[in-house]
Amino acid sequence: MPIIFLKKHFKKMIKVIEKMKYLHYYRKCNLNNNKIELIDMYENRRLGLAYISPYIIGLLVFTAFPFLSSLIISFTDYDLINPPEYIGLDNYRYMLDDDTFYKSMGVTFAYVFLTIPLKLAFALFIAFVLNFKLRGIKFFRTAYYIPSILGSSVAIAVLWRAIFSLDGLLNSFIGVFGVEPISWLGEPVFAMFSVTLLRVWQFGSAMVIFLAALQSVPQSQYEAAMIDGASKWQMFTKITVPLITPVIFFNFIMQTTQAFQEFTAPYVITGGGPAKSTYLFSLYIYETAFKYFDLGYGSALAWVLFVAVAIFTAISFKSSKYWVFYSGDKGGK
Amino acid sequence: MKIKTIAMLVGLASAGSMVSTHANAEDLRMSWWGGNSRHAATNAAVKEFEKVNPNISVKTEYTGWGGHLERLTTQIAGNTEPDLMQTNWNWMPIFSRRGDGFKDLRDYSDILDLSQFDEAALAAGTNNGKLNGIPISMAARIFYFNKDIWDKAGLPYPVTWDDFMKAGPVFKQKLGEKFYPLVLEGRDVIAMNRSYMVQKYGIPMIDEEKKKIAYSDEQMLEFFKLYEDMVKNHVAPSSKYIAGFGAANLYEHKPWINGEWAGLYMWNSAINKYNDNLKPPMSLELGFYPQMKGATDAGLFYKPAQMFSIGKNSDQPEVAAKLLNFILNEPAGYKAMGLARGVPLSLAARRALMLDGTIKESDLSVAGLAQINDLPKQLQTSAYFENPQFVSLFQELIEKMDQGQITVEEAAEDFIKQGNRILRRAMR
Repeated sequence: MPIIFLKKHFKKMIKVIEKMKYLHYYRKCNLNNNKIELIDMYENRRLGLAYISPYIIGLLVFTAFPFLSSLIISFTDYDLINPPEYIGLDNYRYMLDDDTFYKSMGVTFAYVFLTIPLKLAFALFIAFVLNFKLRGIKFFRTAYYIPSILGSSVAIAVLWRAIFSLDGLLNSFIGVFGVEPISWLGEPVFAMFSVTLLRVWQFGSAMVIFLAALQSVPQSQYEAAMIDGASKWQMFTKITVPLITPVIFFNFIMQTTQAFQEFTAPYVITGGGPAKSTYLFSLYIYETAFKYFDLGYGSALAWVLFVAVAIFTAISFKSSKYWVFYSGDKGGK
Repeated sequence: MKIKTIAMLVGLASAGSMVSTHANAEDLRMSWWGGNSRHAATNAAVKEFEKVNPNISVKTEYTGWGGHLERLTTQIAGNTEPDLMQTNWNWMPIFSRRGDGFKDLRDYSDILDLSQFDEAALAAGTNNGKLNGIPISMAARIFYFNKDIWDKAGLPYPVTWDDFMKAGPVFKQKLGEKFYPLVLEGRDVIAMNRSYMVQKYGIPMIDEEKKKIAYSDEQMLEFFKLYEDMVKNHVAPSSKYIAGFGAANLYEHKPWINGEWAGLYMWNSAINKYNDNLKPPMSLELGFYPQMKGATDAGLFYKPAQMFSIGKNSDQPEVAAKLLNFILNEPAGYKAMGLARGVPLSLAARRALMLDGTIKESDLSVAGLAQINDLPKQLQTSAYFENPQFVSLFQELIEKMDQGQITVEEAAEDFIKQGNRILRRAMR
C-alpha cells in the first residue's frame, strides 16, 4: 500500500525534474538538429546495463538478499550456530511484552521529532543567508558544508564525547564564567540534547539543496512584491517558502529516513545511556542480533522499524498535498 | 554498511575454510586468536611438536580478536571447524548448550593428562556433563587499589565488607568530593554483590535447573540495596556520575588516570592495562579479599580465561588431544608457549615456569592468581551469569535508580521479572 502511495507522489516530483531534462534535450536537438541521439541511447541500453552491472549485482547480493532473508529470519529462532527453527509470530509476540522495545521506540521518535525541525529550520536559515550576494560567500558556503562531510564518522562522535564529557571542552569553557560543570552526558535530557546536536550540526547537505532551490526562485516575483511594498519577512514567507515547498518536502523525507537509522552517534557518545535515554532503535537491533546472538528477534525488530518508517513516510506524503505546491499546480487542496 | 561487511566476512570465511579442507586431509588444523606474541609462541610450540612427531603436520589458522568469533561461528555452522581450537568460556551456551557442540575431552584422558588440572576449573569447561573445553589459564575478579591514593587517605585496605562502607566517608572528607575508594560499572557491581550474597547465603545467582534467578524477592532487594548503600556512603561513584564522562573504557577516563577512582573489582588477567594507564608514579596493589565469618565459599566469579576444544567433526581427535597434551603438559610445549596465554593452569607447567623465573610473583596478575588459588571456591558460576543481555539489564536498572526514576524496591522487582524472562529465552 505505502509503495503505491510513494509512486503516485514521487511522480509529481519527478515530473518537475523530467521537464528540466526535456529542456536540455530540446536545446541540444535544436543545435545539432538530430533526433538520432535520443534513439541511440535506447539502443545502447544493454551496454549501459553492463556498465552498471557491478552496482546491480551489489544491490542484489548485499541489499536485496539480506533484506528479504531478514524477513524470513524474523519468523525463526536463530542464533547463528544452530539451524534456524520456524516459530511463526513468536518473535513479534515477544515484542508486545518487551519494555526495552517500547522504551527504544519512544526514544527514537523523540529523536526524530527533535532533530528534523531543528535541522531543516537551521539549514534553511543558513541557506537563506548564504543566498545574499556577500563578499567571500563561496568560502562560507564551503565552510558550512564541511560538517556534513565529517559528521557521520566515528572520529567526530569521539570528538563530540570529548566536548560534552563532564571534564570536557564545553564545561571548561562555561567554567570560565564561573558556571558549575554540567553533566551533559549523565542527565537523560541533556544526553539526548548532545546527541541531537551532532545531527543538527550536519546540516550541510540539506543546506546545499535549499540553496539551489532558493536560487531558482524567479527574481521578478521579488521585484513585483517590492513594488507592492512587501517587507523582507513577507517576501520570505509569502514567496520563497511556498515556491520551495517541494524541496522542503524532499529534504524532510530524506532526513526522516536517515534519522530513524541513526547509530554511530549514540553508540559512541553515550552507549545508549544513561538509563537507556538515548537508546535508539538501531542500537537495540544491533545489540540483539550481534551481542545477544538473537538474530530472529533482531530481524523482527528491524522489520518493525521498517514498517514504522514506511507508515510515517506515508502519512507525510498524505499530508503533503495540503502544503506542498508544485509549479503548474493550482495550490494546496 | 554493517550488513555488507558481515556478508563479506561470511563469504571470505567460508571461502577460506573450503580451501583448507581440500588442502590435505592428513593435516591437523588448529586455530586461535591473539596478538603477535601469542602467534609466535604458539607457532613455536607447534614446531616443537612436529619435531617430536615428524609424521604429523599441523596447519595453523590464527587471527586477531576482531572477527574471530564470526569466522569460527561460520566454520562451526558449516561443519568445517578446525580439529583443535581456542575457545572462550562464555561461548559455550552458544556453541554447546547440550554438551554436544565439541568432543568430550574425558574420552581422551589416556592421551591428555587431566590430573594436572584443578577439578573446579574443569567443571567450568563442562557442559551437560561433557568436558567441552580445557581451561588454559584461570581468572577471577578481585580487589586492586591505587596504593598512592589510599596512602594519602591514610587508610589500610579493607578486610571486611563493612570496611568499604567506612572508607567512603573518609575519602570524601580527606581527599575531597571527587575521590572514591572504588569505581564500579554494572558488570562489576553484579559480580561483587553476588560474591557478598554467596558468602552470606551460600546461593549462586542463577539456578540453571529452573532457568531462573535463584534469589528470593527479599534477597534481590538486599542485592540492590547493597549498591544503593555504596553510592550513599561514597564508596563508589554513581552510574550517573560515570555516565557524565561518556561511553568509553573506565581506564580511559580522566578520573581513573588521575587516581580519583582509587580501586577496582577486576579480572586479575586484565589488571595490567588499568595499572599502565595511571599517571606515574601511581600504581596499583593487590587488596585483600573480604570473607564473612563462616562462609564456605568466597563467591568468586572464577572462570577460564581461555580454553582449548576439539571440534565435534574432527576425524583425528586422538592426534588433536596429543597436540593439546604436548602444549599444556610437556616441557618442550609449555616452555615454548611461556605466558602467552596467561599463567598456565596445568600444574606441571606452572611449577616449571616458576622455577625458571618466567612467572614473577611481583606481577599484579600473578599475585592475584595466588590469592584466587587460596580462596575457597565450591560453587560454580553459571555461564549465563555473563549473558550480555542479563548484565545490560542490571546496568540499566542501577542507572534508573541513580537517576531517581525508580526506587530500589522497583529495581529489585523488575530485575527478577525481566531477568527471568531473559534467562528463559537464553536457555530455551
